[in-house]
Amino acid sequence: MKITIEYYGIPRQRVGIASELYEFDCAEMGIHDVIRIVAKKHPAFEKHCMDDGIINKHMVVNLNGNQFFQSEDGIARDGDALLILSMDAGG
Amino acid sequence: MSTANGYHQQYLEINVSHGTATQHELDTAVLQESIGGSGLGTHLLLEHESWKHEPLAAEASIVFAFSPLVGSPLTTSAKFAVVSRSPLTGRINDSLASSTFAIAGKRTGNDALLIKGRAVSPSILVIEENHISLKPADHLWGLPAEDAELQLRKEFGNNFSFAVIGPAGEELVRYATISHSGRHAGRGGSGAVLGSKNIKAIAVRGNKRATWHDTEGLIEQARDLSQRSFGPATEKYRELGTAANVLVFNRLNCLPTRNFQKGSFEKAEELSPEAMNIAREKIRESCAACTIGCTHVYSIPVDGRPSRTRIEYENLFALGPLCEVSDQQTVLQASQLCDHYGLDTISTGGTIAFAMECVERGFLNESWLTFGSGDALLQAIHMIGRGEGIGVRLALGSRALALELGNNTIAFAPQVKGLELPGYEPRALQTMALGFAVGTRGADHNRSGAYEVDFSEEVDRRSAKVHQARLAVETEDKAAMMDSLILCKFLRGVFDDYFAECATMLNLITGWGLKANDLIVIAKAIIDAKKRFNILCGWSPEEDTLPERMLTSALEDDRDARLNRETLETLVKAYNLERGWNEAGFLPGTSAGM
Repeated sequence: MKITIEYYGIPRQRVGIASELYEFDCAEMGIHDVIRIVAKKHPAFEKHCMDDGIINKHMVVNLNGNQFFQSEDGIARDGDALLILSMDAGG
Repeated sequence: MSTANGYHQQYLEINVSHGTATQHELDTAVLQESIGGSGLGTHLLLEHESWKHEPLAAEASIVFAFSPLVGSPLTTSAKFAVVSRSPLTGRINDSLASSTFAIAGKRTGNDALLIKGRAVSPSILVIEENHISLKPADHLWGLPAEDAELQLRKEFGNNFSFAVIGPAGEELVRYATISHSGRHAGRGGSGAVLGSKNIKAIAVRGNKRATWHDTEGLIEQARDLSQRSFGPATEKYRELGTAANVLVFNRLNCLPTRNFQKGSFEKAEELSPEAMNIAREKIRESCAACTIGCTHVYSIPVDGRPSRTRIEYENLFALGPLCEVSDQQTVLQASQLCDHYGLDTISTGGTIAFAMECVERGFLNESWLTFGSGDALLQAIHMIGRGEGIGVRLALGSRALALELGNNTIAFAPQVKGLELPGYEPRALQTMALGFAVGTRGADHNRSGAYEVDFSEEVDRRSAKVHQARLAVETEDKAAMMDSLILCKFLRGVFDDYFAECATMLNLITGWGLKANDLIVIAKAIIDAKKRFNILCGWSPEEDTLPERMLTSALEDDRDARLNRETLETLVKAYNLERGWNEAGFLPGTSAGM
């Protein structure tokens, strides 16, 4: 399956790109597992955005622009987009 | 009267009609119930029965309220609240700003300055501890706030701090700001209130310092808070600023575009800080006594001359996507012009975007004022600031313009209680929709942080449920405490136990021994007091709603972003009951027409 990862705010600053495509040999995968794979590829992201294997409390993941995930896990499937962004929205 | 650490236990009532000042004591009980900032300002407005007067009447009061944390080493504490009845909404308004004015104002030996009356001619109100005087300001009248402040600094020296209005305040633009060292007490038109009193500037200085209960502990706490303020909770603000919201909101269809007809803007990338950081020189600045440094100031050459402007998400949203203007230079220039005249950028952009739609639909005969035209945007701002042509009508805000135009244009005027909506599309962020509807000062993202709920895994942001009313109440309570202590909201992410840590800070200063729950009770009482003020002003339950279009149409580019009247009314009722009010929103013992 193919999953697009989109980076916004601090995650984009750390990774240095706006988005990238990941391919996996499975039909679905836990969102936190996907994020852990992303973190392995981008050490700066892992250092600044992860805590004990999940994204830290200052970050949040969004699936396809709909549901947010942080401490809870969800399922990513083929064609999904995972948005990784800074938690704070104030301005 | 017992003495209270952290306070002077007095405020100064100034009548600029007569050039007199009277000192009043503040009981410890009052301070414990109102804390400072917004809470104290609201208390004083109620005590002085300010609801009885039209906002721009000479008799109306405007309060500059300081707080127990001002002057302490706690990061971001150099803040103050300007509280009055709003000329834009007719309801309570509290706008906050950070600057040395907070520190110098408190060193006058007063916890608040309450100003009434109307000077006979343009004046500078000089406050040196409890001595006041009025100096002529004819030479400053017409100057932008920044230029006037530079001139004042030459005349008065660096020992003074200043609060200054720009030309918009002089012209009584209903959303004029009060400027302090380039920062603004922005929303709700406090600049017009000061302008109506013929006060161009307030100059303050003094040498009185409040005592602290536990200085050693406070310094240790301040060190810890500063350390945490350098951490990941504030990274976004330091590296990109609030403008980082642009691309996120655009992707989630909650970036208000084309007068709230759409939730995304195809040229949003052009206005993102990521793009601006590549295209322009930028420096980062901090407010007085702040370790975060969220202020991103971009270079903006105008007519070949170098200049700079501070950029926030709200400036970009309101002067860019909302008016469908995508040219980076134009949007930065528009933001700079708002600073120049002393205009609230949200209300400026909201009113202009509304006028653009009225032109498009044939309700307003100003054919040049079209969506997407940067030239029209800049011209409209000039006309508002100078009080010229259509600018005179735009200066009253979108609600007043809609009521004048008729044809049910009020259905798409982007306002609640007269205050233009900030950059959070309510149909795509429905906890925030509730926060906007019930806000005592109108549609507002600073008094309700309900968007935080929408950006969490706790809710479906496009399908509000009744339990979200409780979550909205919680964010409002937090904001009420933060605006009364006062601390910057960008610190909120560093706290693990928000009310407990606020209680610790307050106790180190005052020695009051308050617990987290005590602060929650006080925060709720502050919100009650604001509501009481509004009820006394003539508030009615029908005001707690959103523009009709937002309750009858889905977003054009996100058909799932739909909110109906019944859902919002259910949420509002749940909110009112959660607050301990009746279903209609009246506090116990209050009623319509009090």
